[in-house]
Amino acid sequence: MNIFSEVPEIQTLDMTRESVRKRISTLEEHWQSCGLNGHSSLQALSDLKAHIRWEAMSPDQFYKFYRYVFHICKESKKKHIKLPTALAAWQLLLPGRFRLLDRWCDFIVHKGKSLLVINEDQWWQVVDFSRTIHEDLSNFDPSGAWTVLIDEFVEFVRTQHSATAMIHFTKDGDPFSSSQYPETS
Amino acid sequence: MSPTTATKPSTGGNGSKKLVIKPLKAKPTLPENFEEATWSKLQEAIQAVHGKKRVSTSLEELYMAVQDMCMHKMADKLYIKLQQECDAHIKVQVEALQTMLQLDAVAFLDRVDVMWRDHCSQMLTIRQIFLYLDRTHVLATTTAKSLFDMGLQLLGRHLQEKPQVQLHAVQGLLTLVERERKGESVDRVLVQNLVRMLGSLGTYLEAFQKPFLEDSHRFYQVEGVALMSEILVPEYLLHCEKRLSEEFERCTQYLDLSTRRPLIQAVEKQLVAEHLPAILERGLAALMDANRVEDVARLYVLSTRVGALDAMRAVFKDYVRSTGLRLVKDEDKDKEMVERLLELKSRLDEVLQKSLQRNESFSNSLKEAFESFINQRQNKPAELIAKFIDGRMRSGSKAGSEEEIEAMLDRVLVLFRYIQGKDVFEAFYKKDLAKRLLMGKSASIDAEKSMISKLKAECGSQFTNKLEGMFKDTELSADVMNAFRQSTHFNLRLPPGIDMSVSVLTAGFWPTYPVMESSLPQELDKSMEVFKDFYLKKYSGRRLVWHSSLGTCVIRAQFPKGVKELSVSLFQAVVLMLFNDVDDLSLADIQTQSGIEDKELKRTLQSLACGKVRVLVKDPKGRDVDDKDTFSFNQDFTEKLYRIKINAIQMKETEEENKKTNDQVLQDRQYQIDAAVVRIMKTRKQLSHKLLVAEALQQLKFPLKAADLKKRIESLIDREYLARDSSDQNIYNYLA
Repeated sequence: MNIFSEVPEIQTLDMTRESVRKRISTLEEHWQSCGLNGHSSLQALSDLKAHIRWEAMSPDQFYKFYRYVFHICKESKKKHIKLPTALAAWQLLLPGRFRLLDRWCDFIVHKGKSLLVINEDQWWQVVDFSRTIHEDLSNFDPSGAWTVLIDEFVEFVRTQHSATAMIHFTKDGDPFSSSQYPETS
Repeated sequence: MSPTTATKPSTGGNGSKKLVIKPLKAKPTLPENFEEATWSKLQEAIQAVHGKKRVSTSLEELYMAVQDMCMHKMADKLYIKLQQECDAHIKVQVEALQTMLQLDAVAFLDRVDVMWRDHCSQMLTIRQIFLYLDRTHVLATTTAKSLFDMGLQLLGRHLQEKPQVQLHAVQGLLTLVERERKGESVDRVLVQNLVRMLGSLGTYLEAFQKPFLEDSHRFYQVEGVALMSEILVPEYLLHCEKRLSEEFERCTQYLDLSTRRPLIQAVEKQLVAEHLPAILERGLAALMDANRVEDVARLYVLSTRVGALDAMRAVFKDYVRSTGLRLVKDEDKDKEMVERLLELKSRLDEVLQKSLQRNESFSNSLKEAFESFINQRQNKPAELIAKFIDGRMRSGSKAGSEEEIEAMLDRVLVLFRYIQGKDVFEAFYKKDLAKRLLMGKSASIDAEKSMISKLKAECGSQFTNKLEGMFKDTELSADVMNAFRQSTHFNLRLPPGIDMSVSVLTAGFWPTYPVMESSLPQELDKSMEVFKDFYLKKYSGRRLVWHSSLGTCVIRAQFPKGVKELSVSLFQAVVLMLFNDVDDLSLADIQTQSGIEDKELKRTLQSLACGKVRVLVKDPKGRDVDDKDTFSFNQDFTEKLYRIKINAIQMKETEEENKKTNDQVLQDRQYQIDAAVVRIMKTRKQLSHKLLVAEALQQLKFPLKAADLKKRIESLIDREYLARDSSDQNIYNYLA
């Protein structure tokens, strides 16, 4: 399994655009020469979870690794990952790193047929989002440069949140009022 | 009089005499009792004046007596004595008034008036007698006041000692003014005199104006509150205006002029300013709706007076916006929207001109309000404006004379100016213009050209480039056709019985039309070939694409009941010519033989068999064309006219066409966004998201949602025109 010998190397790469690009494209070719792309690459990753131990990486290391995953998991000659692959990849990589991961997956599933692929920018933004935005979304700036997909996700979480808050309110309403005035009833 | 005069003798005479003047030997002395006697004479006279009796001594003698006393340095004493005399008299008069306090205020005023007039006339008489004293002693002595002023001072002092007298008098005045305000007529001269008295006494401001203003405030406060709930706004405005002019007049008639400002301010405050928000809220919209130009003008003037123009302008703007929004959002009446907007605009213009004195800021608010509401409904208004113009420009419309069309165009252009999505207008205008030009339906080429030049003036030549190109094409086509008609191609090679006219269009200028295939009857096919041959010989290297959907034909049909000329679309002609050979055809047969696309074919058949003019008969009967229907030649066709038009469907806009035009606009906008973003990034190389958005929105002239812009940015990232900065995802870098 020499395909993972590069993983530590990837983590230490400097981030200038050209060098990364070059490095990644050779890696990508390497993977594809092993007959791995798309979902099969992800399958391979998952088999090697114990070997790579990404959950133990530092945020910066993980960031580079995450980026690398996009390139090995995309379809050959294409510039995007198919949605099921992306969803599986997030569920594999992000637990413990993205507090809203379940919501995010719900949202992606909820989008249904209107979302078929994830491009590189969207892929990156998910991890950027997980790193910078608080769980309660309080520091999310809707006029920022987030992709529309992220904007929609925030909208989705907020409407869902207010809907559940409503339910809590009506549930709690009754017992609260009766317990406060036990004598009158 | 000086007893001696010195005359200088003439010089040069010999032994002239000298005149010597010597002082008197003994100084003449005054009689012992001169002072007492003279004074008692004067005193008697004064008392007679005060008592309104005849003065026994002649006035001249009295004058002389005063003069004598003054000459003998008794002026001082005389002044004091006179003062004492007057003082005593005035004291008595004021005390007399004091006893009359129980009288009602107005009756009391009469007494005060009498007292005042007596006082004045008496003081004048006394001054005449003591004129010498007044002219010499008083002028020379700074502490002494002129006699008349002395009288005033004394009166003032006594009134001060008996404050009830003045208070009662002022009360009376206030009562009179209030009565007049309530509509009674009062003795204005009386009021005027007493106001003058207060003025002369120097107590006007303190004793009268202050309570008067307080009273006025109170009065108008009560009146304002009461009337606001009783009468309608227009009446109320009228009332305010009336009150203001009344009070203005009051000041000129009988009050001191210095009162005018504070008094008018009191009315303005209590009647207008206090209630203006309510008036504006309740009244303005109704006044505007009813087009009550005068009342609005009144409101404008009143608002100006109380400095509430900004408030009025805000309400005005709200009114325009909400009224316009209602029109724009009224989807059921889309067809009338432009007309209704024009009506609203001209109504508002009239108000602006006649009521609002063409106030610039109001005019701006009007503009802003129009801009805001007309763009509330995405692109529909732009589309409707284009269609409105199309309706007027088409032949057969009742738009009226050339001047009327010009005026109408100008008015519509004002609306057009407010529209942000000018590209939508352009797309629809172009589509309609194309149809008018190609089908010869334009009412007046002059009007068309004038519209283009107006658009050019409005939006620049880039906007009208293509429209102008369309005109050029039609003109060129006419030339080409002339040449064609004279060529051997036309005369020898065209199939017999066929005339043809071709419009050659430059692809870039005209709207894009879907190429709709159909197999043409042999004659037409041949004609097209002939023309193509002719044209390409003349202009080699060009490519001709035939747009059958735009073609029209005039064909002659021999019905059993008479020969008719049918003006039809090319597709209609293709279908009809199938019936040259057979009388009955099923839909499927027609489709295979004509090769016209299904939906278009159904539309065509519907127009031939289900419209007003039915040259085909459909079986079974019905409005819609079904797959299993069959069609037959209408043997019984009758019609009064010889020439019949059944190609109206070509002029009519189909839903797909509408949608296509809209989609085209949206598509074009995406390209424009992409181009703008790339242009900006190319110059800036690196820019934050917010700045990029701001700059792009500034460059793009159509309304744009931030999310749409973001999507285009993402697409550009995906296509690797841009990349996010590796250290800050909010910053984009341009990738060369």
